[in-house]
Amino acid sequence: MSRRRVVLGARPGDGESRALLATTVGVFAATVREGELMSAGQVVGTIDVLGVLHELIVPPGVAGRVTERLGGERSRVPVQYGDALFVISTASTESIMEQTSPVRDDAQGALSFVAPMSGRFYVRPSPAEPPFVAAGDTVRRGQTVGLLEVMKTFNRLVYEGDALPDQAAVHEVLPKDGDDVVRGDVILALRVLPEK
Amino acid sequence: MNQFRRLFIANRGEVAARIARTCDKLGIVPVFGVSEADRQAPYLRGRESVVLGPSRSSESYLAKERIVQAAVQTRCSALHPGWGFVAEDPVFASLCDAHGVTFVGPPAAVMQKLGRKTPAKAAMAGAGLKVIPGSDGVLRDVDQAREVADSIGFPILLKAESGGGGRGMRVVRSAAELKDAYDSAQSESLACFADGRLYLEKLIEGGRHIEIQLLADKYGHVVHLGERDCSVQRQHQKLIEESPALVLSDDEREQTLEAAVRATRAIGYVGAGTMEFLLDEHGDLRFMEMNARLQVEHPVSEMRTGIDLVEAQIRIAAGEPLWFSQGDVDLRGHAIECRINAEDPSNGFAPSPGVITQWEATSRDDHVRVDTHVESGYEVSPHYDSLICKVIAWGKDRETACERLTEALQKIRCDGISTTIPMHLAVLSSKEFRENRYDTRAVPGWES
Repeated sequence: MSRRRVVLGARPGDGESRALLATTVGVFAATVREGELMSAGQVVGTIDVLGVLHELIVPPGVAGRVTERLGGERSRVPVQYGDALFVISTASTESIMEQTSPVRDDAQGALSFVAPMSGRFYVRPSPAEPPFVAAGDTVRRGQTVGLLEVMKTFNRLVYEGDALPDQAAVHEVLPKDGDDVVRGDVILALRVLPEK
Repeated sequence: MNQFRRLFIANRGEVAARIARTCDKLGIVPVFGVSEADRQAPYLRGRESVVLGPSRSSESYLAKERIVQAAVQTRCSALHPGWGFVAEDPVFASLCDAHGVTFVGPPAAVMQKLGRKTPAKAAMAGAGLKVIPGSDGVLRDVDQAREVADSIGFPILLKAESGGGGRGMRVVRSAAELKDAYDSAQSESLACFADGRLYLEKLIEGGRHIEIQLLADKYGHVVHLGERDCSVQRQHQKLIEESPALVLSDDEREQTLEAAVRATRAIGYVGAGTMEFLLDEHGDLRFMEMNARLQVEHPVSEMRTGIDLVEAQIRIAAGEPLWFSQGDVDLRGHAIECRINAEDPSNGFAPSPGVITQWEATSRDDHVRVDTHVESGYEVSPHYDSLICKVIAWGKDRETACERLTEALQKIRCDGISTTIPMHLAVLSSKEFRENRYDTRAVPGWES
């Protein structure tokens, strides 16, 4: 039987609890019981998808005591994508949690270019080609900065906008290649170019 | 009859709702496999569903193992793939079989054969259908391409042996362009289909797109349900379909329908399938390809014959012999379908996803059918295609069908997004469409 390792999804629950979510449809079997502890990197069960066992790994920065397990004591439970497989209490394990607070650099002169529509963002014209823009580049009005796939149609994302200068420096391209974005999401974090 | 109790629907939107309607009629419980983006869809209310994966199709509607696993764990003994996604994937059909789920569609081996273009073309020519002149099978190299092109004359079309969706395809108008076109078509098809083999056909410009609806059971019984004219297209996307195709001569229609039935039997086809043809300037129908699935425009044939094609697919898959013969298929009157897409036709057909704030599209007319999965408050997702509704009208003749369809379209209320309804109304009232004088190159009555 072949095996594949997958990292569980995580979602904050009520208070100091966290839910660990199924990453695929399939038949779930847990190796950790209610009351036991789990921590990042540990294999806590499997999901069987047509005979391929997906080993479920606790995501980075997550640890706690299992307070609920889907299906209780049942050994094999059919689940769907997104089901909460475990609920864990993180109350006593706060110290080992990874602190991830992405600080937005609100330096003076920060600008952003946002998605005009919802869709899937692509950073390069095709897999073999270089990205349209990267951090450190200068973008000019009318320049293509990415592709947005909306309803199977590829649209060029063109740098424009009344509130934006004719040229700006790219500080960061926020979405990764292939990420879903919604209208208004920041695509490019920009900086005003110093006057010459 | 070996009846299915539970059937898995491996698709979304309009076709998923359509399949469920027939399941209800047959007393089969439908189970929907959905993506996370669709989990709140109105057509799932009061239904069984299972979330396969995230909105991205590659991890949900195209994830073969997840889909079959979901069908197995929800105790479904059959699976309907709808159209698009996994519908014509022989590997998927085999995977269903291997796990005890009956795939509602043709056998994997037949699908495999139809997916490769030149064997399919040869089989159809062998069964007596006219094909587009071109190379005899795949091309050895660019020199052979030049020889064949010289003998049939430019312009020609280079096509990918394992292709589809226009990729790996190049129009070549002169010998000077051939080498570059050959190289780029080859590298594109290698990248898209992992198969760089090409073949070549004479380019037929314009023309009409005509197709034949076929039904075959597992015991060699084959019937046709008449033809459809799908020539109102924009960039190879069909917009309006109708039956019968009045541009066809009676002789050509009769001969081709018969030959299509023979060819379907000859290749061992099972289920509902559609043969697509190009009607050339001499009035000859030339075979292009066979689609091994239900088509979006199937209601046109259903309105004329009274036969439920999804029911036929399911009963055939369950092993039932066809319960009617060709003589029982009564092709009545004229039917026309408009596909309503969430697109803005006055702005280059730009996609128009968003929330439909107000939706009203019911019809009290028995001769008008509205197939849709949307309602007020529905959010048209940016992740999937833009079809939101189909309106099909029947009349004793083309004129009557056109008028009923126009009236039905005018009554539709859809606020919040742009739709192709204004374009449909313009086409239906245009002189070119009414007089049936147009081809696939331009939408009649609509400048875009």
